[in-house]
Amino acid sequence: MSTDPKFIRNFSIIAHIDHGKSTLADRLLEVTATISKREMQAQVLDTMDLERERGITIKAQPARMDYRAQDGQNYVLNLIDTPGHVDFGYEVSRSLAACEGALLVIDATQGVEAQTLANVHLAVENNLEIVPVINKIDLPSADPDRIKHEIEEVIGLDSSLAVLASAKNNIGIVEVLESIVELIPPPPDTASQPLRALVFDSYFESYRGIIVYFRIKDGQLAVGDKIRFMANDKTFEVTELGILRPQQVKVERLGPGEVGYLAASIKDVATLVGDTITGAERPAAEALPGYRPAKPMVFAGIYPVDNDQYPDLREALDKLKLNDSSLFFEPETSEALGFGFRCGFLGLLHMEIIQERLEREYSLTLITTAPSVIYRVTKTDGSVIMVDNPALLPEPNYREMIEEPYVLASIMVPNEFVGPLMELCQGRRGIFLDMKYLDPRRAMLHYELPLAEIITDFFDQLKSRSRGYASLDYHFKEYRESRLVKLDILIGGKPVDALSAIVHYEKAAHYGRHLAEKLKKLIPRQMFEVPIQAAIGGKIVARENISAQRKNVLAKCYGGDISRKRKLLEKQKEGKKRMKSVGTVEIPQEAFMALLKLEE
Amino acid sequence: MDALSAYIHIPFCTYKCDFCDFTAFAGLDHLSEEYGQIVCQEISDRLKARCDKPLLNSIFYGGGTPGLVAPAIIAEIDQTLRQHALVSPEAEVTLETTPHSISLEKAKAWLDMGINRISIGIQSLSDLELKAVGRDHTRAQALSGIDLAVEAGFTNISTDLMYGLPEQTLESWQLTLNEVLELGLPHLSAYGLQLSTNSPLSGRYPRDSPAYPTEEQFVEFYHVLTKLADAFGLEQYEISNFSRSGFESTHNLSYWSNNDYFAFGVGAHRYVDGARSANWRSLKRYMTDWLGDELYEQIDASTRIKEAIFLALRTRRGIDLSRFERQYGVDLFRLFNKQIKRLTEGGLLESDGKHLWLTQPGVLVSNLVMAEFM
Repeated sequence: MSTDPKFIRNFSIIAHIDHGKSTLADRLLEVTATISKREMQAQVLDTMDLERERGITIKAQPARMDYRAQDGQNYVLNLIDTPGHVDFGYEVSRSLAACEGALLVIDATQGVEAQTLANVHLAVENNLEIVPVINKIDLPSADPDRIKHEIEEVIGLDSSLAVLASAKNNIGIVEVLESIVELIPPPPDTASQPLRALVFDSYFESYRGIIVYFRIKDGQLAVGDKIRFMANDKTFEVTELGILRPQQVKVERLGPGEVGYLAASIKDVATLVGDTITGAERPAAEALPGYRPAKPMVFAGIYPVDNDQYPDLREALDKLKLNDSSLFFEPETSEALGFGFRCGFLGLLHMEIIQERLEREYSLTLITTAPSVIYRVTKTDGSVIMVDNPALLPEPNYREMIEEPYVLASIMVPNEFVGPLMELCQGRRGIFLDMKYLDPRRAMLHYELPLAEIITDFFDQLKSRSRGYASLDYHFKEYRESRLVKLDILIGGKPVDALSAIVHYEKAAHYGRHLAEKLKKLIPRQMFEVPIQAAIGGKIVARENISAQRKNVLAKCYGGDISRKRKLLEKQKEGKKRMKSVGTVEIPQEAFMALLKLEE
Repeated sequence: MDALSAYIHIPFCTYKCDFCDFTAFAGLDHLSEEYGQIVCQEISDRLKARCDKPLLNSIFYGGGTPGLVAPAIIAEIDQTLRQHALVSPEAEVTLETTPHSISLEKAKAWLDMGINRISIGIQSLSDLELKAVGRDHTRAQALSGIDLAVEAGFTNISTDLMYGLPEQTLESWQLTLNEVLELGLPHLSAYGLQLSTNSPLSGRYPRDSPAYPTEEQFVEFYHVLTKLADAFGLEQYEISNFSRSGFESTHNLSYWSNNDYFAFGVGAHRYVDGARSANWRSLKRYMTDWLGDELYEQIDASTRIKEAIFLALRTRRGIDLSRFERQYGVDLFRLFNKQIKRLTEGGLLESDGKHLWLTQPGVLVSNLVMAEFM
């Protein structure tokens, strides 16, 4: 039997990164005995090793809890954990579309941050009931009154409903659960209507095929039902149905408002996320709204170090795409790196995560080129092309104009760091819009910035210049013409396409010098001398030389220990496998990312 | 069947040099007699198990300091070896020693038992450098040790020198070299210092200490070495070895030819019947389990080829290409076409179609060149 919608509550937890979202999720699971103390490990819902190691949430993860409320009723609470980082706003919006409410977690010592606001906007757009939770109230520096004030003034919510909690020390957890039951509306009972379920995630499994995570909006679903994915226009029979506790538990039937997973021997479907599931026999007239598709903002080439791994890389990207629909990729060829893929990401962190997941989950050794934004280039013949790879920028005599994406950036920062941050934005070609004081201690800065300036080390600089206190949120504004040029890097006298960059003309020579210096540090000395040059339009603007390694000799073979010498040589060779041979030069992975870390 | 060689490890030393990371022990020479018995036991256990008596054309007593222990101990090992193996009349029989372990009496005893080559670890003739690397002898002791060996009647004498030492300068290195070469000995080994982490030397003089010569100076030291050796009529026949014609070390050459060799004693490495293995490195363990393996590795065909390449590249004549093809069934130029082309064009390898060898710049980065073939 499916659950009566009256007793279902579907909610997400949203927060600025590090405000304690995953810890609160852990406590809710523990207090509702969904997970026993014995099974409990920190950040239960962060199932990827990568998430635990970095202490961040990358994927939205659902979990169903049973809770007997103080009114004596048993409720089913479906929690969908969401990522906190700005790059993963798309995952957040997907999760929110599957809910009726959201817990807004705010750190009692930090207060409202840039992404707190961004997430609130998303929740409001999705018509969600928002329950503020002021977390970490047991810390000595907690200031719940100030936070309440911010909730009223900055966010515009009623702060009297805010729950004071400490997820870490189990304070206020029952109050949070009661608020969920009381404040978040139940889903409407639409059991008799034709089935409509929203797909919010999917992943591939070799045995069962694609596993689909969904939320039923209308109607019911049972094992054996014939279903149709409306956008894909494909029909399958449900072979397995279940709920997530958070591990998969099979059930026979699910009703309106419920969250679950299904398997239906689905293979070869590119994008399921955002699609609507309906019944094949009694289809709904209209699909659910779905989501605003995630637009990749940052592009980079991903290449296998060993060219033989190219087919494996393609397969891995195909599978990862199922689990991460915001990932974009298409084949490309580089003279220096061979066959690979141009990939689009939501941001830098997303890019790092994808590279790490590819390397870990699919045992690949990869080189990622420096990230680039997508440029709009008007050619002299009047045609307009989009350029996501600097190597493909038309030569100056063939182009009329280059436009680059600008973003609107909101930065929240304590007053004493406003100066350094304005300096940072100015240095990154930022255009100051306005500054507002949120309270006597904090200001909100608005800037227009070229996206290209943000995807290098902007965020690191922002943090280091504000001792970690500033927070950032940004979104795409428009394309604008800029005076941009292509910077080429020549190694051993030959241009290396994968190291090309598009930069502002005023900064180009400076960049060129820095990049050449940086590469000199990153590329180890070789058997032969290696010249490094930076060039703009054929003119050399910087030159460095990596002198040849002159000494690397085997010591005496004492007592005929040949194995040891051989192993030493093999190890030396093994070390080179992490590098890419470009012509006769061995270039380590980091060198291709040198552009990112110029300020160090 | 090819003639084989045998290595016997005698681990005792008066003092363990600060750069040494080999199986050597100071202050345990009271165990040397018992140790000698066990080595004899090992020799007879290992060789008796074979169906034929191997023919040896080289025996090498290495260490540690074989010259430190009583000659009677060496003599007994030597006799045991001759009981279980045939020793060719022309066999080279070498004993390694520090200069201050040599006495006239001992040297005569060594000659009497058939040792016909002596390798003396001088390392340097600068007292400052000797002290810096923790050698427990002086230049005076080094010179008098050589004199004693000559006086006793040794003609095939080799000295070991080291360069790239802390406190060493181009001038001091030239002085040491000149002084040693003027003695007119037929063989010289000269090794670049390889600083092993965890050695007491790296504690006192860490890798980045300014007391070490720079890389440019090191390269210069090497050039001075090859130039001076040549001027004194010693031909470089291997990366670190120089000799008058006819005085090349048979033992060393057999390593570089990838031949089989027996080995006995603590931590000793052998290559017999297609397998490389080593005895326990712990003295205590070896002395109770002298047939036990610290390492055992069956060498497969591809590994054998790799080893043959890097070993042969150490010799100045290099790899004998047709012999290589006969022995290993592969055409090197075909197997490593790309690598050889690149390295030859870069001036690190040279070939006349019959041999393939390291150039002098190639010798200096031999590790990198050899790694290309791994």
